[in-house]
Amino acid sequence: MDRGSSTQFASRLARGQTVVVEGAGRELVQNAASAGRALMLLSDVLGSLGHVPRALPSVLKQVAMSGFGSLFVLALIAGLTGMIMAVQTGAALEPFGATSQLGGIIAVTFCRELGPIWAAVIVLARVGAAIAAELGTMVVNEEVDALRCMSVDPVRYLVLPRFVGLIIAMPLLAALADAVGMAGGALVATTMFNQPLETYLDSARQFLVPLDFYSGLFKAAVFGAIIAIIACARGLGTRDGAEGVGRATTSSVVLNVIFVLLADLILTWAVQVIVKPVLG
Amino acid sequence: MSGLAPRGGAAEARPGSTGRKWTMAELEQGTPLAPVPAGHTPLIKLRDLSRSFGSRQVLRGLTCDIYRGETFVVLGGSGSGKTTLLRHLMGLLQPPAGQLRIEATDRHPALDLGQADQDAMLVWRRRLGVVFQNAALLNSLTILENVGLPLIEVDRRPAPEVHERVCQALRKVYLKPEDILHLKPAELSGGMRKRAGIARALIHEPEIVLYDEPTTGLDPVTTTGVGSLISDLRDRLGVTGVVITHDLGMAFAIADRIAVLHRGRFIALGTPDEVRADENPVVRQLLTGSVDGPLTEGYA
Repeated sequence: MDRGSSTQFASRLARGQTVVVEGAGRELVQNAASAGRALMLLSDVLGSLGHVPRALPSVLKQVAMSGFGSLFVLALIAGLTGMIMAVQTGAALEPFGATSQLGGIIAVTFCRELGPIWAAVIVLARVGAAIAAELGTMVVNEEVDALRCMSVDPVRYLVLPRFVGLIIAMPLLAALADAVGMAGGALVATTMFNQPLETYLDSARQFLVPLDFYSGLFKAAVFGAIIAIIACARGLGTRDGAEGVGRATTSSVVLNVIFVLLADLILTWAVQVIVKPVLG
Repeated sequence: MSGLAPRGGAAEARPGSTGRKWTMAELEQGTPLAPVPAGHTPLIKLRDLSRSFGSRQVLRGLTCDIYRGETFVVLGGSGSGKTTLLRHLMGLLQPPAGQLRIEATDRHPALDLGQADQDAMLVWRRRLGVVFQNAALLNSLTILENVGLPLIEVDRRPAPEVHERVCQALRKVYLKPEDILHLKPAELSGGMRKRAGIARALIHEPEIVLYDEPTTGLDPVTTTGVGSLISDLRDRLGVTGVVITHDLGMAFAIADRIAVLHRGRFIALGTPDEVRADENPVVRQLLTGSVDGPLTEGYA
């Protein structure tokens, strides 16, 4: 490589680095702006909670759409996860003759963690993405502007039913995931490890405390609120036509995964470190 | 938008003009505020209305009065700032204080849209009907729910009244309610959707109607019908109309006054005859639709 071409290469490299840094910086600023918009939207939605009774038909429609629409996929995934967990854990416990503890381990894991998380993953991928795409398309088609021009508040009309709907639907889905996951585990425990069903259920009753179950449902409700707010904020913030709708949908899913897991960490810590010692 | 500007400092004289050369400044010179003619009362006052998006200046000091009960048509090429002007009037963009003022009426106090709070803005929007370019009907609702949305969500009228008024509004725009009331917008043709959008704008009998390209995508018969409807609303109910359009035939048929918007400025404003006689080459090119003129200079 002669001196001229090496100078050119160095210059191109520097330009490339600048582009990468600029791109990363721009993305960081955009994400911070998105988070700010989502927080403002959350504040607006909380301010309009008094209108829930009037929005009840829309709320129930959202519960039905997000809840019933996700039932089959969630049940399938939770059942399979319960079975896989039972196979893996049972194989590890068998040498110690402790397979009778399978019920308790699976019940606690599902109620505390896997039930709410699987419900969140299914809902953020199915419902959250659909919300972002639907609202984004409405923005592009000027439907949201039309609502404003008719003095119809888009937050009250579009966001509130989705927010409340997901807060109601998510604990129901998490409870379903808990039940189906435990059933999947029971199937493996009874057929593969020859555990009587009664032993499996006794173990679950022995390990599981009400706090495990209710904290899981509470987490699911919080995840529902996060999914609804991020999806609505991304949808309503759509720019640049059809391409923007695609971007809003993708970023809604990505941000939801991050924030749901972050919330899970914080809530798990709060339950284990603050709530559990208080309740004994 | 800047790409449409003449490359040199001056544009060639067009056939039919006086033969002199127009400088860039002359081509883009805004029209001064005209005295209010006898018998007219200003309803909307624009005073040096400006708007930039980043470094791009979209509106550059618009000044004019829109009179009560007139049909005011805004003509202009793509990117001239028409939609931005309309969004200010809708209250979707807030101007700086003093630039966009609504005069007092018997029922409403004067309002500066630049200083209006949320409640004042809600009242202003209740006085407006807006016809969007692509109708902007909500796809998840039926035509009955779409057209009756302001009555259902804002006025909270009982269902039988909503049904009756929606049927009336649909008939005004030559739609048969019995055929379409329970259909979703996706099940209608583009023209029918547009007419349903106009029906929605008229459902609460607004004082002012803003039309964004009301005839785009309509067949000639419906276009004439929509033009007649706009004139009829003005003549019978005294509705003030602001119409953004590219449709020259309709513009000259319905307008009391026409404003020509070019690069964020009104470069011509007057009665249809006055605008038709304007010698500004940009106005001439817009009115004749010629590909030869300052708007397209530098592209050949």
